Amino acid sequence: MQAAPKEDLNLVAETLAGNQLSFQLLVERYQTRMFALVRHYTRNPVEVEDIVQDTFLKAYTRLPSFQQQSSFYTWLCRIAINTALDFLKRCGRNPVRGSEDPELSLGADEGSGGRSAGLPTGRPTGSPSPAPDARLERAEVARITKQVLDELPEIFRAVLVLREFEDMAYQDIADVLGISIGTVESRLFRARAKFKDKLLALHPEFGEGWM
Amino acid sequence: MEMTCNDAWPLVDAYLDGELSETRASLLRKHLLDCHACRNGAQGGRNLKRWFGAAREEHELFATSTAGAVPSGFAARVARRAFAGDLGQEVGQDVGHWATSNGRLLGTSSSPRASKDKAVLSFVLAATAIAAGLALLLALGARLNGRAVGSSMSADDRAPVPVKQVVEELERLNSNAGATPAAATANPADGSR
Ligand SMILES: [Zn+2]
Repeated sequence: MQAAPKEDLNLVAETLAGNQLSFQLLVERYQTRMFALVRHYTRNPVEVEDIVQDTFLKAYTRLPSFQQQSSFYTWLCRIAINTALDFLKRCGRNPVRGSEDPELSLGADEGSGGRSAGLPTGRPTGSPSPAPDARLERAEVARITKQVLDELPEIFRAVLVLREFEDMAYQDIADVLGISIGTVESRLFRARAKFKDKLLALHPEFGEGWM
Repeated sequence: MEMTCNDAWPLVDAYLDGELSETRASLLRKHLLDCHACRNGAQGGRNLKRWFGAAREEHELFATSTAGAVPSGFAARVARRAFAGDLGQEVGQDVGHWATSNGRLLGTSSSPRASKDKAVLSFVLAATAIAAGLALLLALGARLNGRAVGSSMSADDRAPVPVKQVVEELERLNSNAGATPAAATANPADGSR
């Protein structure tokens, strides 16, 4: 979000004036983040590219209605998420359980009705083992995170993705999702509680002491 | 005005996100200083943030890898199509190609790992060990609480600088604290509400 908003607005204005290169610059500026964002909805590279392309094409056609009180970036995120959800729906893949990635498919035992989403009680930690290869570590955390996020209802996944991966401020999340800041706050609270519940249901071994 | 645990819980996440107004943050801090259970909860929240931090690093790493890179010429292509009047909406029309490309490309993006033993994950757990965190939170909370009074509010009440400091300092000190088994302070029997 460091990208000078003024410049975005300039490029938007120039695009509207018919400058194709200006639009290309806008795409270049945000393409990496859009690919990363859409990747939360499908890991298939072809689909990701299609969805991101569609996002920018839609943005272009809707540019005249772009309200400048939100940033171009959050506006783009909103289009991207909606495009991704439309896509999943059209393919008959339920966004709530869209885990087409075989590597991420869950075990047969579901039944994760979820415990009550209360505050975790702080159990004492067991003795932690020595830290192994950090690279492997992160990859494993990321894999499990994806697995759990795919299990969450979309409204919870979206706020978590925007907050934890896009590092968005609450106001920006509110802009993207078209909800109030208060709703962002309460939804994030519930989303995190649900995330913990699901994580512990799938991987009870992480329950010891840290959440 | 006193805050109950029920009031406090939903605020902890926003507090750790640095999104709580100073008014609410100071109320929460006050409660955290008094309430062992909520402090534990706050530490759990910190740990979850670390968890996501690790996931995010990995996500970003992939975005900069060859497999995750944006195809070259993408922007020019999209701009050309946009100006040629292409309205998009093509996505998903051709679902047929999906299965094959999925199978092919997945291999490059994520090699199956032999379900690495969960001990691997103890890195995060170790890093997030409650350790001296609770004591620190207490100390910091007390300190910052005092400071906040003096330097109070700018025009924007959502200026959570002190909160950010709490978070950062906690993080730093926590990682230094290593595996100090001070977690013993987390007494599960203390169900004080
Ligand atoms: Zn409490």
